[in-house]
Amino acid sequence: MRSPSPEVYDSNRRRHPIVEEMAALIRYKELVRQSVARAIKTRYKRSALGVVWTMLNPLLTTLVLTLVFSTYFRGTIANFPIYVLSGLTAWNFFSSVTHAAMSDMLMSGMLLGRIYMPKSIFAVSATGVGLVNLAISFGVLLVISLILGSGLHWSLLVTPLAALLLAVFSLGLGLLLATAAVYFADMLPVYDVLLLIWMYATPIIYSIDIIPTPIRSIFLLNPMYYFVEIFRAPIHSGTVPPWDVWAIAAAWAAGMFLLGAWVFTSRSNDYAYRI
Amino acid sequence: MPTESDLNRRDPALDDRIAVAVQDVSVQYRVPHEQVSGIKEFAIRWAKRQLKYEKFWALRQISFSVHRGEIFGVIGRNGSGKSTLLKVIARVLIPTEGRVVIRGQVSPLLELGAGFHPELTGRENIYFNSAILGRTRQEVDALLPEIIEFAEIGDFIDAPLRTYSTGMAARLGFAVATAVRPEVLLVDEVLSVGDAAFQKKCLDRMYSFQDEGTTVIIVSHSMATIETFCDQALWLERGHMKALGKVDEVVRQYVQSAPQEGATFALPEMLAVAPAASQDETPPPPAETPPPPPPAAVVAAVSAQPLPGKTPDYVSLPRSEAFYSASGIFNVQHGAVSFWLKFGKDGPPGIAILFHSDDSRYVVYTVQDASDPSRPTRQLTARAGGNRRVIDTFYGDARFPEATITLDDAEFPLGEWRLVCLTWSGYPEGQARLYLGTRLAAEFNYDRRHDNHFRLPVQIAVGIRPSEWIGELIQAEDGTLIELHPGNTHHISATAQELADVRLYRRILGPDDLQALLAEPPG
Repeated sequence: MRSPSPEVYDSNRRRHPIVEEMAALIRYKELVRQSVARAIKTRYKRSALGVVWTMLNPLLTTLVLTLVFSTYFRGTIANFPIYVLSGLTAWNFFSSVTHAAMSDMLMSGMLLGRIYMPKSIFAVSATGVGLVNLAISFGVLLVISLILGSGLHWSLLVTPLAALLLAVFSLGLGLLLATAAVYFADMLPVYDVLLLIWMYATPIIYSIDIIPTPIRSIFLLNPMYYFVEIFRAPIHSGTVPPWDVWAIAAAWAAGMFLLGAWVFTSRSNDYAYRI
Repeated sequence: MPTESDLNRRDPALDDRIAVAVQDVSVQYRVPHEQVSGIKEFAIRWAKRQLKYEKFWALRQISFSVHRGEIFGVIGRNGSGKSTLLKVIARVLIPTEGRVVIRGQVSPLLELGAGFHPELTGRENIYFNSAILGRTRQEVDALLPEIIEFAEIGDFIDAPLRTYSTGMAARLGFAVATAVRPEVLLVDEVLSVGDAAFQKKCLDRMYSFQDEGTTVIIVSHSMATIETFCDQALWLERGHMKALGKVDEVVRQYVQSAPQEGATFALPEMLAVAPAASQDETPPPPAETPPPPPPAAVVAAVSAQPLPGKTPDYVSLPRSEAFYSASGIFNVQHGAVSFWLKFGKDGPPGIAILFHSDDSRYVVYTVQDASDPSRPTRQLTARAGGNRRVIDTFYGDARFPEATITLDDAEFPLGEWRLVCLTWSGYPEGQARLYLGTRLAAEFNYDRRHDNHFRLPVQIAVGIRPSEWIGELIQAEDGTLIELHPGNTHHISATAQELADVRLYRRILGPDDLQALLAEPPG
């Protein structure tokens, strides 16, 4: 049986790398779906506590931080546990997505060297997995904030937009890091250290207000400040941050995504040679 | 096959008779002079302007084209660029220079079940692996029953993959990879998976794909594999094309160039007599590098056993697991081999070569009956095909002239000796008969189509082969090397079998002779 007109692959006739990658991702959308489903399933499959594990780490961190710092920050931050927990939820999403975008790509080197697939699939599905976990964490966060009496606000309706911007930013950085990880074997441990420093440089367990004015502008260069802010404010204080905070977050997200996509795709023919 | 000038005249992207066209393809790897792996090191070297790369051409100016429905073989030693070429065709590598045109869906059969996850069930893994191959969910929904049936997984389909045996995982991998007929199938030394019966199923599927127009590209170390399947072949050496054309001619040139060092590592291994304890169901994946050559002294010691004592009627081959020089005792026109066989009570019956005239004109071997793993029934197979290959049960295909009989416990009780005899008459056309005791268990014809018309073999192997069969040696009577392959697809499991009183006759045995033999069972 001859199929009517089989697809012809010609190594000389290829489109722009970004267009090529986008088209391939759309064609392999089932693989994205399967990768996300697989990561979620394998994470929860053999654990009776399931979802609890996702939240255990931030919950314990929050508990410890609350016990240690609540006296210190008393007066500056109202409802400290929710403040920390909501900030950590956003941060954990960011750190797990960027980390997984790198490590998944490296671990699949053998597969990449043997069978064709869009190489951005790892970063994209890492973002998908992060979003699913974020939705779960967010549900738990809402329950806890009800218990602790901070209530629910209409401002929560902007949270999906905040999550979207954060996801786009994380995906862009994930693509950039994945490219670097292909070339430098020690990228992963270096990034883990950077993440730790970065987290403490981001107002998550403290408020930006405690930073002295002269050096506050340095803290405002940190893109994660804006993402944490737009995610945290609606649930913690029931307010929607001013438009300029949103605008800066959106600019960072768009810029990082374009940079990541450009660097990643312009190098993607090289990966099979290197991994 | 069109010549190169044809290729240049016609655009392969427009010619739908050509499935794969490779035009002046070169692939260059950049290998750092020293390993610069870290960021710190990179920064230091970059600052010092010490970043030097050695450019290394893995493929240089490769041109060929494969027509629809053709089976194309790629041969060459380790590091000759075979795998790089497959990667280029699989679209994994974009060639540094040149052009590759492929018509239709490419399905690589490279690493079976490469994307399997141990915690997920067989069903979930089918969906994931299919997605890697670019299939949609709806397509997999429709294919699912057929995949499960072909893989013979049964109720295990909803059990996690970590509970599967190696063979089951391999079967599932093959079933998923070939669930849809691809336009181009890439095969890289992976066909030696599973048991004999499953290998036959895999082969049948490959052949039926070919009949429907699938183009197959096979990379293998085994000349036997290449010669069996391929029409055309390409010989690569250090990234360059050494020969391209009809498979017989390319293989002949390749074999004649067999370097001496190839012989040194293959020979001692194949004569190793100690049965290893390994009982792996499937062979380990083929190693990329050959085993280190043994000391020269070992090589010198390797030679066929001296001619055993002759009687007017037959030659007795006293020790099993050895080669014997065949000159003067082997007759391809009419002859017989008889031996007593016993299956031990413990240990699973493995795959064992019992008798093997070295060019595989005549072979007797046993395998476990794969149709029912719960019941330890065995199969005894005799072959008269002169196809020079036997050890791979993979070739246990009906296309080869052979007969198989099932040995159940009633006819062949464990722990008891039974007389087995293979007789042959006529060459290159004639009959082969397999006797169990005095009963004629099977009869089939010698098939000249599988004969390579080499002169008589000079060596005969007898006995239960060692558990790891590495390589094969075929020598002409004048001592010239006909074929030597350091095959890593040859694998025999450890076996619980015994041989006794092996006799090689220069005439055909009849029921009377067998009756006489039965009168003296091994003590």
